[in-house]
Amino acid sequence: MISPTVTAQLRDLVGANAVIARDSELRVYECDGYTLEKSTPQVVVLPASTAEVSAVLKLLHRERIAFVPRGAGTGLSGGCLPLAAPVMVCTSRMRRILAVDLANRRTTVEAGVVNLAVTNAVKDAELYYAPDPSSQQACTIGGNVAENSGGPHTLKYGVTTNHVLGVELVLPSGEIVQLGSAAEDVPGYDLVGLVVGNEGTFGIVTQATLRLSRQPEAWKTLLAIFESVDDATRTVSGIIAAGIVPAALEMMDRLIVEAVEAAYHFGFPTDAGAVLIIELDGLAAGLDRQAQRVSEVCRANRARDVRMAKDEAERAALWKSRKRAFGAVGRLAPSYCTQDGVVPRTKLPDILRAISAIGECYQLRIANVFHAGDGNIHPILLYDERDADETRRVLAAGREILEACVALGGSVTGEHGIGVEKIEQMPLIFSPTDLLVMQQLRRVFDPEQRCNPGKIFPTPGVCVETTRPMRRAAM
Amino acid sequence: MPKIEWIDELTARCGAALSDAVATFPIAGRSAACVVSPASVAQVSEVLAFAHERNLAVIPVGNATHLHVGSPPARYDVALSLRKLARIVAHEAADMTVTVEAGCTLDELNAALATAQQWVPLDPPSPDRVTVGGLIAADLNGPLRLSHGKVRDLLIGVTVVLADGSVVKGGGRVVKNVAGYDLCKLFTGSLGTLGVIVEATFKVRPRPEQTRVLWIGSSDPRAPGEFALGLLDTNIAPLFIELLNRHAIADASRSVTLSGASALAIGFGGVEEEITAQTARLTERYGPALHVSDQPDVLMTWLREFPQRNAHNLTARVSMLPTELIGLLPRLESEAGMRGVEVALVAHVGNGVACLRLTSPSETAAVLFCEWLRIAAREHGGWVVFDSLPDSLQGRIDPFGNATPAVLLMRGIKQQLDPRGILSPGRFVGGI
Repeated sequence: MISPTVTAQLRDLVGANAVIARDSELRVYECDGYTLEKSTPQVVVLPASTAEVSAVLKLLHRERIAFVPRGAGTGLSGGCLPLAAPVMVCTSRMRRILAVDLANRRTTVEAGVVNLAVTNAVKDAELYYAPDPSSQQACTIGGNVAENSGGPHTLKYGVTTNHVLGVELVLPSGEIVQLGSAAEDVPGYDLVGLVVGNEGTFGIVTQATLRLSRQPEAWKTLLAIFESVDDATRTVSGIIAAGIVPAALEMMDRLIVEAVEAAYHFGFPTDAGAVLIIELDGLAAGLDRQAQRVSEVCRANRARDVRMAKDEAERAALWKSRKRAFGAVGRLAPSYCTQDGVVPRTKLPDILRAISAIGECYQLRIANVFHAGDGNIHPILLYDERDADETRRVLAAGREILEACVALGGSVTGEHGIGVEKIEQMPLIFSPTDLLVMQQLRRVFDPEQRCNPGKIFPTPGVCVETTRPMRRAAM
Repeated sequence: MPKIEWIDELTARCGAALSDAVATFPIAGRSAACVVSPASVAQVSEVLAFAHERNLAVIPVGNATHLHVGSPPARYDVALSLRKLARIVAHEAADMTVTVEAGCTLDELNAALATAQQWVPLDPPSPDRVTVGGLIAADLNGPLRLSHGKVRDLLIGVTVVLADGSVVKGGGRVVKNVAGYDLCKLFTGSLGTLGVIVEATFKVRPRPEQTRVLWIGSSDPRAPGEFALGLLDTNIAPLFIELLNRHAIADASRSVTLSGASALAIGFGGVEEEITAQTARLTERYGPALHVSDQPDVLMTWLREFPQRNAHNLTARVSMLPTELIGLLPRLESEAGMRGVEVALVAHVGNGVACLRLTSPSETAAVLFCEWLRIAAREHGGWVVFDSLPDSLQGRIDPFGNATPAVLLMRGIKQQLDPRGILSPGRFVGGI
């Protein structure tokens, strides 16, 4: 527990305005995008610089106080839920873009910089930052690094780890280390690659050096409309089998299309079983032929209609609908739980059928919007969190969906991370040895396990019962 | 314990065939006491458990294309050959992934993938001999890294046997996966010091329908580098952009048409329309100086094989920002000229990485040049690794230098995964 002395010392280090200790203000930090579990930290600290982060962590190290890092709190697996960690260290004030090197297509930014802000800073130079999670208007680079965030364009352009060259990491001891470099080949182990995706358990990333990409010359964005989800998923496989790697390949089922159309009036047909958004990009020459081939695959799989966005405005509107789909879901039910699983692409028809059956079994409506190109599904389970039984069924259904993913050769998380949400599912895909080795690695960075405790790993006997909150939804 | 005794015990315990390997896998003139060729992951595990028990030093070996990289081992008891683990385990063409055992060569792997018009787009030297395990452990990349990324960007799953014989898996078989820590990244480039890689899963890509190579030579040694930087500023997306210096051109022009004090080789891959359009745009920019290579395959092979890393040559790889590399090159030529050292150089310009082959009239000149290069690389914000050293220069030139950041964390990782230090001891950065 935090003593008043420590709180006072924190105020000395970062300024009184940067320390939040009042109950009413702390509630904002009680959960991230995973709202099923809530836990309020005792103190939230908002440092403005790496030096301040280091000073804070040195103090916490001296006092042996556990802490949890937080960026914008948009995470969907409870990654920054404070469990047995009285202090939250939030990087949202560290918003400076420190360096932009257009000639070498790199930028160095502080951890609190919003993902989209990176692209906005360089778009006049026809560059952009490729990893574009749907939450990119709010999520931070620090959070992206912690979770190895994805988005709709990962099939062609990879995920965060393919675009991070270096990080500045403050270890739980307070020591500041520079990992990687703006240069591509750095001698030694790939510590940057290990840190990306560490879910905030190795320390606090305060800066990252990112690769920038050149905007493609041209895009063609198609919308294909199908009577059934099966036809749409077969089309996905067909496109890949034709040797085409689209920049993005997104699917939305009827429930989602209805919600999105009601919200954004794009002109989606609300009676379609499923729609596919297919984006091709690259040199203008060659795109026509690719688009032609994609259309052929769609029609061969019984597409009712294939439309091409005729200009940039239409393309932007199409993407807006997709990226704000989760927001539109509010029309369908008072609460929703976004799941995140992966299967090999060829197993998409199987998993969608399984999801449909699970929905029926648990009497839940489940809407689907997802990155079909890489088999990353996001079933959205609709419910009312005031209904305890329905909430229980949602959790049970979510677990079964993940088990089905694993049974089909996939994984329990494509991009949202393990956090607290999927700790129980880790043994589905990792052996005891695998888990042991990962924890050994964690010990190198965080020997006292004070950095984001209670995440990722099932740890029998370590305060699980007393620190994990009861599943109490929004009570 | 006399060596012969544990060899017999090893055979008795593990049933692994010994001494049937034709090679002895010497490193810096030193051979292992025995070569073991397990035929399964379980056998690899048995061998390592035994070695761990007896504190024997083990070095995993493939076909030894890059076995010389790093410092000579502090100890070397067992060469653990992966040649019997060479199957393609699963090729899921429609999922665009392939799972393969570590002893399989890159050519064998890509030959199997070609049946579905796919490939793993890596082009290290000697693809007919380099093994999957080797290219991961040594992080071997080539010109294609510009367009397709490095080993770390293509590897999505790995199975490794650790020093004590336990088997650990990282990643999986799906292209999108953030469950657990990214062990694939940790083992890539770990040079046999953290575990024995036995199986790997890669993302595959469709093979390009066509490829074409264009080249520009110039009597001005600086011009091609500037051209390259300008090209990188457009959205023309070549497969590779390789910069050759005078000595590299002299070597290459023995087998292909290529000339100049400096030259740029630009590769394109894709459908007909794309290649035609890109060629047209380049011609707009560079006019008559641009040639289409009439022997693209030969040139690409030459570029791929250029580094010629082995236990006799002195080779280096520098890495820094592309603009810094262009700035370093004239200094490098000048220094080499002064010392009488001949440098043949091919750079992956867009990645800021250059491979150098060094020929020197004397060891002293070589050492002085290498020391200069290490300092110059740091001045330009980058690194140099000497990835082959002839025996006479072992000990006089440090392959990695001592300025690697976060060495303490790396030692911490080594300490956790191989506390007895039996895997490739002393070969890596920081004496690991």
